[in-house]
Amino acid sequence: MTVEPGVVDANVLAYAMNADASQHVASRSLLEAARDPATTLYVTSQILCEFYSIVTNARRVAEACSCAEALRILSALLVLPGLHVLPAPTHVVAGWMQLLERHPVTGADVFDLQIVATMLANGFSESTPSTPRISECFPS
Amino acid sequence: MSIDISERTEARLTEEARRQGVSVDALLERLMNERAASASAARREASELPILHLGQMGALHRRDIYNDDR
Repeated sequence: MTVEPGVVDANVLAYAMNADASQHVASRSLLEAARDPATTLYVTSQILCEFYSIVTNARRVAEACSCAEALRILSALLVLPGLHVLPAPTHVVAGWMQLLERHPVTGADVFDLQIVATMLANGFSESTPSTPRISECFPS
Repeated sequence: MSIDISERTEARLTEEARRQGVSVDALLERLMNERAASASAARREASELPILHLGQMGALHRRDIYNDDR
């Protein structure tokens, strides 16, 4: 499976781990591609935290993982040779603040902007196919 | 073949090669081999990536992750 470089979001990680999710097969295929070092997929620290939040939260899943189990999964994810953690340099803060001026979202929607800002800070451009358009982050 | 690297990187490579008693070329070859072996080990560890049964999942939105009331 050939995979274009891009960011894997928390929901895709959760679907990939959960065989009961209807999105499991497609998500798992994407993640399995990261076993190949030629694949270039990214996550951020925020995305990994969100994944942890999903799989350990009984409000989100019927059979929540323990802390220890989720940590083992995270460790297994981090050794995938095709999956890399994007660093979040300090100017990411200025980045999502600038995005807020253009897209004045409120509440938890700001976390979408932080991911976009992290991508932009790491050289992704808004014209890069894998960079989500702001409108895609905030479906109506 | 020639490659452009910074003076700082060149100095580090030269110093490490000197420390190991090998040429810079041999050092780079050794580092590449070690990297390949490390990637291979990582692939073996990653084979432990589990498949869980967490129950049905609807579409997950980030805003829901940060709001436990929903």
